[in-house]
Amino acid sequence: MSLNLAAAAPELILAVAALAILMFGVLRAPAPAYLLAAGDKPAAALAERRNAAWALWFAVGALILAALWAGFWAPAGRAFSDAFILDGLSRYAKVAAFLTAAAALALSRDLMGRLEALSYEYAVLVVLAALGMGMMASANDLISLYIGLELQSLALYVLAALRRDDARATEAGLKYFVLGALSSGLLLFGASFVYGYTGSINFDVIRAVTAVEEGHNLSVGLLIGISLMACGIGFKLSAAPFHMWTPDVYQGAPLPIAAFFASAAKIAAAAMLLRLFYGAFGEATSQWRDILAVLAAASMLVGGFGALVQTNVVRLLAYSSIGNVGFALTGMAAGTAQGISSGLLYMVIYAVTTLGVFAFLFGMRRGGKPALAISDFAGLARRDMASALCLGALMFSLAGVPPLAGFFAKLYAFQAAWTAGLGYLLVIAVLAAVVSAFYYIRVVKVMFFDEPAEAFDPQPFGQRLALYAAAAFSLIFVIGGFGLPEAAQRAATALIGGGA
Amino acid sequence: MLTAIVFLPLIGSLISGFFGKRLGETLAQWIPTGLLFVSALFSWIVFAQTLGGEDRLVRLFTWISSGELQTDWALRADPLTAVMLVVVTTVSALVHLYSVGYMAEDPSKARFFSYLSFFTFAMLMLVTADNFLQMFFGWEGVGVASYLLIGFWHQKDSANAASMKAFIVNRVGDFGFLLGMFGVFAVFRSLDFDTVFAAAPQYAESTFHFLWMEVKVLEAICFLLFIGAMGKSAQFFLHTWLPDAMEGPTPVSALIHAATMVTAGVVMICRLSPLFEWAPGALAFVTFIGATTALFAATVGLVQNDIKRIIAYSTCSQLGYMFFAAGLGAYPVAMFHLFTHAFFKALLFLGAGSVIHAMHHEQDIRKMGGLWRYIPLTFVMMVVGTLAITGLPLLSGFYSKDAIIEVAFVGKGWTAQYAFFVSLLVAAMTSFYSWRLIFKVFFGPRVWKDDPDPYPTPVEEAHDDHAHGDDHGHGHHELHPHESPKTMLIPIGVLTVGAILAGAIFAPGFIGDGYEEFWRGSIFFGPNNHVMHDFHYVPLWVKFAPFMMMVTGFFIAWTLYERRRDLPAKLARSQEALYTFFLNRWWFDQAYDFLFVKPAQALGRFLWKKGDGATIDGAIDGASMKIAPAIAGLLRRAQSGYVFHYAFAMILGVVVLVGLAVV
Repeated sequence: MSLNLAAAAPELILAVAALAILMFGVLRAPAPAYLLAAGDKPAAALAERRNAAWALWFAVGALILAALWAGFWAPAGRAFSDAFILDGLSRYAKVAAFLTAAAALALSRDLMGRLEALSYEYAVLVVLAALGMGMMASANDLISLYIGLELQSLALYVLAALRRDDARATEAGLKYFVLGALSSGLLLFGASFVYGYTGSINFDVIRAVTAVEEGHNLSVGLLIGISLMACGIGFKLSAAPFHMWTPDVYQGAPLPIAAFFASAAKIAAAAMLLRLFYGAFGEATSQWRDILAVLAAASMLVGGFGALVQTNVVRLLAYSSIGNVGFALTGMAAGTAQGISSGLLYMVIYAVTTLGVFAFLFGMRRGGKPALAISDFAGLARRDMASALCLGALMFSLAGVPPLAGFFAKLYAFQAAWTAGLGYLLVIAVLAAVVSAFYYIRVVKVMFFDEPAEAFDPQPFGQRLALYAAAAFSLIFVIGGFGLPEAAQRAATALIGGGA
Repeated sequence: MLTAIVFLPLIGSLISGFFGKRLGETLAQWIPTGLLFVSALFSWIVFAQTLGGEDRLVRLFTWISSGELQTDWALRADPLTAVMLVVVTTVSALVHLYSVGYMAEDPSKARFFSYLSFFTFAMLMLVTADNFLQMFFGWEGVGVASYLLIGFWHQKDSANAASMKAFIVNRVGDFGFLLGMFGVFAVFRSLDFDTVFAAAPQYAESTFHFLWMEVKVLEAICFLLFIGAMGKSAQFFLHTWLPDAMEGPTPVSALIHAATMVTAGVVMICRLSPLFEWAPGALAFVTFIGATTALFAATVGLVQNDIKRIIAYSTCSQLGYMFFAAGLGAYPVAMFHLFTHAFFKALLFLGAGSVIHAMHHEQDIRKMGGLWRYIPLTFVMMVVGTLAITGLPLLSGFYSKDAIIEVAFVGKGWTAQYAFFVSLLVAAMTSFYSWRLIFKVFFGPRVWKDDPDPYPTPVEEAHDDHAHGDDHGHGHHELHPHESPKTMLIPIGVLTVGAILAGAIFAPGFIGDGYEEFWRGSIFFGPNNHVMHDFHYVPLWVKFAPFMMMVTGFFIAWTLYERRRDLPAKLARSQEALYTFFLNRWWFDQAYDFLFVKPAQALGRFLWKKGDGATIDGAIDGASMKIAPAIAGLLRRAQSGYVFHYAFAMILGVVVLVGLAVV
């Protein structure tokens, strides 16, 4: 029974930061519009925007600090009476999730300003979502898992509908909320089964109870619980058949928020899945392997085939997200240390790559209007060779072409699945990879070989830099991989070894 | 410094390759050229240091570390490397400079210089390699560069065909190299030169079972590695690509297909002397192939009419010399000939380039003649090159070639005797075809006057006729618009100096009594190998024989092409069978075409039409045109936008998953 706040310091930083931004926003807010004289309104609006920008940069700083803290300074250990754990896995997931959140947030500054969606609440919500993600990755019992998940989800629901005067955004937010509530219900229902049949909410106890001998099965109730929880998490991961919200929400929500969904949120969900299945149900691998395998297969196929007929880049990326989660699940279905590390590695590589693509999408505007059809890429190479080359590299990376980062992500995932004897899953994976390669490479073809369309508006330097950085990441990954494979391996041994 | 030598060309290549357009033509040419001159300067410094007894090994970083296979990127500087560094960077720098003039009218200069510098980088990687894998990297790198440069004028069909031929024939050799490398790893469990060389004596007698016979492992490995060398160095059976490679720009021929890349095979055998010394059978094979190549190429060179092809066959033939010298265990002599050959052969090629430049890209020597008055500088330098290659005493070729012939005389075994007779015969032939070229191009009637596109223009002709009386008016002739620009003449001039002096200066060090001190550990001699000592003591007639052969060749050429111009045609008629046999290059191309190319094409066509077209494309078309869109359409229909549809899908998923888990 100890608090051990030091282990939870990154979360505390985020919580304090969220509160501070709230206070800042409230205290510095100009008087409400109806109290102002007509002449003062523009000045007030300007002040509000400036406040929002300050809040955003403050939030970025807090996220980076939290990531550094989680990575370097927070001591490993358990906190809050075993409800919270900081080990290799949560460290890895937190650093990745916080940093991608910070990157998505920083990149969104320009576009959110243009969309007139830049408010200090935006920064608060992102920080709160990140806090929820940290909790998800660190949860060591069912309650904290659920609280973290719910904190994240609630923040994301609001974020999806942040532009409340936009019909599409509100529709997307509402859809996401309703379906999210359903999935939360499923998860809770599953959790209650698990509790009922194991008698504990603590993952260590559950792990001990669910240890089954080879050839024996768990009790039916427990199995129902596990599969229901898999459904709930599958929704957060947007794994098929719980993926249906993804294209609509990505398209409806403001682009930066879609980028946030695709990067940080996916990493956190994957970490939670690993925590639950490899931690709590880690001794019953044989019982859940098929569940994840089915989710993986369905996601890969839906992601692959669904994207074929898309004309909108954001929807394309939504399906790409579904498909990539499927590939990551292929690795994670293995149930071995290799499965964990490949999954973690996959999610980070995917997040960086997709953020790079999103950074470019932010700037795909003509005359101030978004131009997000695939045909808008036409002839990009002739107008802006550097961007076209970088985007091409990212697309090839997503398609899994060696020697780019995406290839290694798939390689490790497939290796994990192969050694675990999931050959049939690999057949589907390779088929899906071929199909998905088609639409990634089609983008490259449009960029390089079609007649040029009109030029886009000039892009802010930060977005270009992000695109170049992501492309450089996927190109240079082959040399050493930035230490990521080793970090993922450490995370895996931490989890398989029974925690810190 | 070693690192700078190797990587400066790469930097130059990248700069003019990627930023060529932005830099503009001038910079895209001069940056790589400048960097190469720096690299060449450093090479000479390293060469001097190495002579002073400093070997160096620069480890860059680990390349592959997988199980037992540990391979580093490392640069190694020992005498063998230093000699090659000097040869490669010097010739390359001069060729870069020369190309500035030669390629002046070409629209894609940046690309050309990028390729040229890339080639230099790959070649340097090859010679500085510290292990088999890195050597293979350089080996393939120069192959790619050669492919790109042969096909540089890709609008020409013949250039494309030649580049493909070069690449494919080289692949055959590379396959041998690869197998050899596999063999090395299988036996020694390492690819590092030092480790392998140290362990080589232990395996001298070990054998393995292959089909019905016992084969010595080292013999097999060396044999396979030599196949690689045969491909790269255009030796007999795998030589067919080299003459066709002359489709590339002439500077390329000078650098790649005369001075450096084609000598890679020789370098490899010298570098691997600690292996080859334990494989006498493989060495005998090397000798045999080398001598045969020398003979074959020389006979073909006798009757060719394309100025570059003549020199190409001459290269082929000289490479044969180097190989049988190496095969007889006289590695320093082979390296020495490589060294001198680089100078005079690059000189001949660049001179030929100058001739071609002056003749507006005419390469047929039958359409030249009397040119010495128009391009006197080129003429003088070409003659020096010819004197050097034919082995006039005191010029560079004399030292190295005579040494090779003496080595062949003292060598042991029937292959050595074969090599000795062949080498004498070839010496005469070399002299003949080299002088034939000079006579046809620079002397005799001006055939090109009758050309439908006459050159030079009548006004200039009058101008020149006027200058006839003034033979030594160099200043006057340099004003002549058709002598090549200075950027071309200076490199030729430098090479001329090299061709004159390289032999006399370096002979004592390379092959004289101090040879062991010079090469130190970089070349290994087996316990029974005394050839380097023996060849200094040959009968007097052996020492004179090459000279006599050279004079004979010269007189025959002089008689046929200067004194009695009607004789060659008569001779060709009277010996028609032999003439066509030589003219058609011993029918090699036709035989390969019939034996390999046609069947391969037929097989390819079958697999393409029936296998790929009908079977695979059919299936893929069916899948991609029918099935994939159908699935995609289904998914799109499911994506209706209605929340209850989505929720329904989720519940369906729950049912499936729970069912799967429970059942």
